[in-house]
Amino acid sequence: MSATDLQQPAVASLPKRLPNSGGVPTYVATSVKPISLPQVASADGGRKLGKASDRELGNALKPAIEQVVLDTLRENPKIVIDIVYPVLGRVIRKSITSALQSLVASVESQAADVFSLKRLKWRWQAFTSQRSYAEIVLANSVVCSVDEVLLIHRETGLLLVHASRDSEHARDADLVSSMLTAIEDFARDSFDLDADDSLSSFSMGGQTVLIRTSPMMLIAAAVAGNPTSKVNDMLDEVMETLHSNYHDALANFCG
Amino acid sequence: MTKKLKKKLCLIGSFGVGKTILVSKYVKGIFSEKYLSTVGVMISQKTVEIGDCEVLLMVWDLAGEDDFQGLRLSFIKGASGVLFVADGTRAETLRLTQQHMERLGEFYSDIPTLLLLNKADLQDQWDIAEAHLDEVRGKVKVFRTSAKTGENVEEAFVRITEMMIAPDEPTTEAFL
Ligand SMILES: Nc1nc2c(ncn2[C@@H]2O[C@H](COP(=O)(O)OP(=O)(O)OP(=O)(O)O)[C@@H](O)[C@H]2O)c(=O)[nH]1
Ligand SMILES: [Mg+2]
Repeated sequence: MSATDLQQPAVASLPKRLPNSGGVPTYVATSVKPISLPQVASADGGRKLGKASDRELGNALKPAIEQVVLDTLRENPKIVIDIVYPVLGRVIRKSITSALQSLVASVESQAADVFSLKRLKWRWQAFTSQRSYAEIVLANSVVCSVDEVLLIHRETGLLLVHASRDSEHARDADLVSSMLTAIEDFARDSFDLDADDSLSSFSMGGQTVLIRTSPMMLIAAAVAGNPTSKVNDMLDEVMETLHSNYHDALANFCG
Repeated sequence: MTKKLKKKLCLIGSFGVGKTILVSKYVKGIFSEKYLSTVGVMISQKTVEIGDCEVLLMVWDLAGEDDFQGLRLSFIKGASGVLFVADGTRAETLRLTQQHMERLGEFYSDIPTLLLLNKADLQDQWDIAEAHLDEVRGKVKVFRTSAKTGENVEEAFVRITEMMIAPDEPTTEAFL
């Protein structure tokens, strides 16, 4: 089954859901959150002129515009479909891919243990601790360690926060941040990707560097071993939290 | 207490004008006659102290490009300052730089810029007419630099950093 097949039902159900969900913005906001509006706002990259007055103007016009938009959408929901369709497709594709990758990672790590004594031990643990066997397996399947995490401001490539297992790497963290940003931009330009597609990982030797991007920032985690789904999920979660909590600070960051 | 800042600085100019060597001279104190054309971008860092400010300068040395279309705007985004570099022994590199400045102004009109007219040590091959220079001076402050002798290299980097951290401050210095 291809990703395109999967998009159809979700999109087809849109018109039905829109009118009685009691408000289009709610739907849009919840469904398309990872690629939401802030990105559009920052799409012109570094133009800093007139930001404050733009914002005031925007705030003043917001209620009126919102109402007009809502009315238009109620009358002609097809507009939303046209706009949301390509985005939605990507979101679905992305989440399917990452779900599959997570699955593969966990299956792989468990399969490797099929014939080991470990499994017997886990069964015993499950029995004695009254927890499910699956839970024990999952808890024990962590086969990687996160050695270093960089939080990078996306527009400037400047390092915001750095955490590392050993302090030796700390000196180069600023350089690495800039270079990662450059590589990320380079990859996106070269392969003609959209702003929300991005490099998601690369490996060198036993190390994998996982990358998560939002319009405002980039998180890079250097992982030794096979990154498990847990690490991946954690990164997604951290990214979402940071994005919603520090959106304004990140937007105004200037060094 | 010292204030710590981080800033991104870009170097833009035609092929072989001396961008990489200028950075190398400033960051590591090393000049080299060898010409290794930069591919993509080379990034270096240097801490600059200005007053009670400690600025970590992330220097993006972009690959030389004669055509503005070839410049990767994604490498320039987020920069707090730009050093344009031209080769004093090749007047056409100054003309190309003027075009670059104009085009870049359309995208980033409010970031501080300086122009470095490099290879000042090669006086006998100097190719820039005074009239041409006057025209340029009307638009941007010009430093005559030499990566070979080190003339004005540190000054230029420090000056752009000052402008980056206080972009509104008027300048009274005379250049050149
Ligand atoms: N005499 C003299 N030679 C210089 C000076 N600056 C640079 N050069 C020489 O000019 C050549 C090109 O220098 P680069 O710094 O590599 O030029 P670039 O601008 O980085 O070139 P691209 O990376 O291709 O864009 C080298 O052979 C340097 O030795 C200078 O101030 N004086
Ligand atoms: Mg170079």
